[in-house]
Amino acid sequence: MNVWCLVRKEIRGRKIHFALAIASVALAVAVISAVTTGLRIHDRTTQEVLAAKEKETVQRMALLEDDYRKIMKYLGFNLLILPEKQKLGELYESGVPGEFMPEEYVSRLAAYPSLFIRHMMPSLQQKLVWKETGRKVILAGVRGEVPVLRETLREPIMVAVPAGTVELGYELHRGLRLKKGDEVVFLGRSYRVGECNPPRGDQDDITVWMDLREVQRLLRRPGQVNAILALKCHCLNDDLANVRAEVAGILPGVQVIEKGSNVLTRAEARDRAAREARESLASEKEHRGRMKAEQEQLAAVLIPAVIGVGMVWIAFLFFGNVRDRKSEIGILRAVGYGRGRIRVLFLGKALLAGLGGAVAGYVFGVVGIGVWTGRWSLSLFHWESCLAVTLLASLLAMAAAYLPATWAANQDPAEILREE
Amino acid sequence: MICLDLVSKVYHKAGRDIAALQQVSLQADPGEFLLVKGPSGCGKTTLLLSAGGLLRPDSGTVTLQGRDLYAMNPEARAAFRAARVGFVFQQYHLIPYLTVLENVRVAAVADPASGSEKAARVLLSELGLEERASHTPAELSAGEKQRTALARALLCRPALLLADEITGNLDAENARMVLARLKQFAKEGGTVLLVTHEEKADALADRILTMKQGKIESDCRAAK
Repeated sequence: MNVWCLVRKEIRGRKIHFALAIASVALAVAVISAVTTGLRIHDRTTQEVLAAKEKETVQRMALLEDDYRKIMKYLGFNLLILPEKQKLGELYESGVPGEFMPEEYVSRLAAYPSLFIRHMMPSLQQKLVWKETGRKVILAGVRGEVPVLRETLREPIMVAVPAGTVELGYELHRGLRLKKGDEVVFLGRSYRVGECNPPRGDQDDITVWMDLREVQRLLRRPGQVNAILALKCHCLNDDLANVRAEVAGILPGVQVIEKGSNVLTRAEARDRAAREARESLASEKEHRGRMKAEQEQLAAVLIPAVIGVGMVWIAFLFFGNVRDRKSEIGILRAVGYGRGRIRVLFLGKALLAGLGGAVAGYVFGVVGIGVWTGRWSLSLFHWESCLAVTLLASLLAMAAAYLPATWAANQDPAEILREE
Repeated sequence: MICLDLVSKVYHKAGRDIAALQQVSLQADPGEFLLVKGPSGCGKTTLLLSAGGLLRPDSGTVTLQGRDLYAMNPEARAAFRAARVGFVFQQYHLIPYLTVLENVRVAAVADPASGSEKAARVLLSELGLEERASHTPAELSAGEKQRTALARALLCRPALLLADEITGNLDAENARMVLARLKQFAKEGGTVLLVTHEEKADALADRILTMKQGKIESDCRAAK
């Protein structure tokens, strides 16, 4: 009768002991496989959540873009009408146009029947030194909004500056300690301060606004303006080329440029939405990453602890088994079993407990965590993992039983037989 | 032939030295049936264990069929013991989860051929256990257990059979049966060393050794 036959029969004869050994291995393996499968489920869920979120973001972006398009269709866009000779580089450099066109253009534009412009504001601007104060300022003459003849104005976008008054930019009234109602002298003429503007963060802060007629007189440019600002213009297809052509047909010798267009606004809005979506996605990724790190930390503590406890328990079980089988060890040694065979009796049993317990524990752990998380599927089984866990558990079970097996092998048969 | 030459063994227990064997010399030829008698604690069991290669003496040599048992390494001695020595003890030492047949065959370590199922069944039949072959030790009487242990010791046809108080737990009929089988073994050329207080065994023995305080006090030819 070979040793493995004895191992098999001993297992059959001491079922409870073997069942306990299998249960301890199975429990340890179940915990380990549940933890590792749980991490895999987490990864899979993360991928699915992120993929769904990305898809949702793309759909939401498409909807947003459509919404913006629809909304902005009614917002309109702004145009700046300048004399044709005006070089844009010079305009951007100096901040004010240096060329002039007839003020009458405004009336011509307002009277044109099919035009898309709703608000028009002619202006005459020039950069100069306010000699009474020594400050460089922009002098802007405005006449308020010119009514479009074909429709009723709902609300004026800019009101005219009453004659005899000035409206001062923030830097000017703050630096000169002026307030509404004060009297100022500008280029030899007296004016009352009609408005003190809040800070705007651009060249408006150093601008002096006056009535257009007054500025035309001061600058000796009667009947002339150098810019017409057209606000809230409407065009179904955002087609600037058509707009330019239409304006050119009405006003000869001008150029039309788009200012702060809805296209830019829309792009900005879309970028902001995309940024928010990206941030939301990154936040979700970070959140799930943090969750996984926490789970990994738990696993890093739990797995060695479970292995340790399992091994101690198996060693304890096998020490008990050796103690119960002393008489058997004594007679087996007497009839010729060497120490190696005695060791195999116990290590073999531990190996079988490891194999059986590992397979049972793996199945139990994977199915358990799958059902518990509501993500059970056959694909949770990884045969490579099962094999690795089985091999590892068997080796660890044998390692745990090694000391008891060695203790058994080192039993003195003479002492056992004499004492018995 | 078993030969013990000036064998001594001292146990150290609770700070005391107990001389179990003191320069014991003994020789027994094949076919001899020796009884070992003496009061409890006189060293009878120690003599048997040393003779069987299970207990290394502190001094002296033990040779069986010309081989010095304690000159061998433990694994070689275990193999030699499996092939040449049979043990039977008062407490049977049957393996509880094996059947009677399996308990007998467990001894076939060195020579599986000689420990075949057929040989085991023949032995069981000789000892009146053929009906008990598939029973476990828990289902046997004391006599049946001891006969099973004897069958196990005889399976590999050893040269030396060492038996320690094997009739102590048996009724008269079982004791007679067991002793008769030992005698038959000796007649077949084996050497028997039987430790017993059983008076009925005297009639079967060739020699009777009496031990006292670790020494062989007398070694007499038994009266026939």
